[in-house]
Amino acid sequence: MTRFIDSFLRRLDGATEANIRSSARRNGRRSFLARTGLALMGAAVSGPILPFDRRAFASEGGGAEDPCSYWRHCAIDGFLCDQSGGSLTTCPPGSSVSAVSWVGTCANPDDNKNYLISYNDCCGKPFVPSAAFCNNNQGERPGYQMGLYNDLNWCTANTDKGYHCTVSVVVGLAD
Amino acid sequence: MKHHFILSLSVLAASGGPLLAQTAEIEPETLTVEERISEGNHIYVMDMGISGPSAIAVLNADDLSMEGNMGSGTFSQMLMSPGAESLFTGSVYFKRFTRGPIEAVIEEFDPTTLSVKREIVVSDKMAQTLTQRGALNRSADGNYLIVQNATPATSVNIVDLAAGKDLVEVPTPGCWTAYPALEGLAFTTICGDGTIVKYTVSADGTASAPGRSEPMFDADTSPIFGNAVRADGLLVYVSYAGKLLMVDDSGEVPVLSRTVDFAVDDWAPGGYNLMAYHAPSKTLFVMMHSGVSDGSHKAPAEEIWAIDLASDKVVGRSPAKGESNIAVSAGETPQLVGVDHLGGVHVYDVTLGETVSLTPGPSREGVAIFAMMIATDY
Repeated sequence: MTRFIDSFLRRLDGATEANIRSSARRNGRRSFLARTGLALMGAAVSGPILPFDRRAFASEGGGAEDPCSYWRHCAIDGFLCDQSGGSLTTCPPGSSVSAVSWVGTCANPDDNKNYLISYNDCCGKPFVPSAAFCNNNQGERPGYQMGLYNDLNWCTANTDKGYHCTVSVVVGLAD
Repeated sequence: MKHHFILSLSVLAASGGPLLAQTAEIEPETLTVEERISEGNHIYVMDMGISGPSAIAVLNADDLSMEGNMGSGTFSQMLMSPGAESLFTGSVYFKRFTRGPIEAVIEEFDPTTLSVKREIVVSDKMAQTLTQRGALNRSADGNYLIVQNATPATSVNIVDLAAGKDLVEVPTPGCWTAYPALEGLAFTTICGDGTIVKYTVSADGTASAPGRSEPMFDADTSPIFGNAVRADGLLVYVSYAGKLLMVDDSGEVPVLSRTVDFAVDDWAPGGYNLMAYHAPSKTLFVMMHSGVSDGSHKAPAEEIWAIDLASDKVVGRSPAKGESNIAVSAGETPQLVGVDHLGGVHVYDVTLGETVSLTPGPSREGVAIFAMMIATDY
């Protein structure tokens, strides 16, 4: 995998990992490659998911170097709400919480327990291009297991269906 | 801009004879619209909009020069008809872009003039999902479109093309994708209990009872992708781990015809529209990545493998360029086309034989922002 990432990086005109990470934040959705690249780098460079120190997020709400690798984002697919005017658990002002959501099971490196994470979209606004777009897929399944599927606009059941951003809310223990 | 143009013309008229005399020596240019794209082979690349319109870029297959595009709504699906006579899209238009009412529309384009031939407003339950082959298809007789719905409760909408309206909504709870049968008005869907289910719909809109197969996979331990291709009469699905499920959907109940375990040494399939089948040579192409882990099933392609479905053997492994979607042209001498996550389009010449190899051809970067499905007219 590391070899793959290396070759992948070479194809980006010599871009460094840091460049890709900053590119992901800078260009947001435009860096569709970068968003997957981030996920891949989490997997390839530092194990299945880079376990970011949760304390780093206590004050910044997900503003660390690689926000996509934060443990509770293990099955997220979307723009981070904490870079869109909200936080890990709040939607930005004036938006609405998706009535439905998909779910992931993510391991918290602090206590090695698995938590159920509800990935709610926030709806009714344009996306924020400067926000990081993360695409992680642990436990993700196609639409035949709809509750695990992250390739859907989960604002679809809302009155205001425009996709804005995604939060990662701990809803319980999985174990 | 308009004011400047009028002002320029006024100045020209007021400034008198000498200037007019000068301009008389210049043949005024005439503004027209290109009637159509060039003759020859073309590649159609879906750039799916998640907040606004989708665009389908049309590239010349020889040099990847841009020939134009087509526009549809948000979360657009795409379907090229056999013979490339029409290109269908199914998408959702948000009347206030991000809020309020929506309208789901089927649009039929002329793939040569890039103009809309007609549109049909359909059920707004249409799935707002990434562009995928199982979400918009056409019945075997060509008379109906088969549209995946999701509210997110799933159903399938049958659209009567002659009548220009919905025929019936078939509830398909717990199931996803709808691939048309080779005969009649029928489709097959993947269900979360591991079965493949077939529904047949009569012309009056009556849907049959579900024809449910024996379980073919375990969604927890051996999930399959939603992407499938039609090969030699069978529907070919692929598991996350790299096993083909060859499904015979010709009867009332789908039957697992055979399986093909092809992945080795920590390699697995990955991507979105990740398979493409070249019928004349019976070659299935699959995007593959190494270093497999839970969640790597959407990883960009590190290699593209060729599987001979006559022998069920891997007959080629070629380096890839990080593609997330592929397609293959239909002719005797095929080309494979892929698009990577940055919207870069890459063409490969396919060398057929006992072994199959891909030779990189032209590439073009930045064709799409959110690149998804590819189609060709050759």
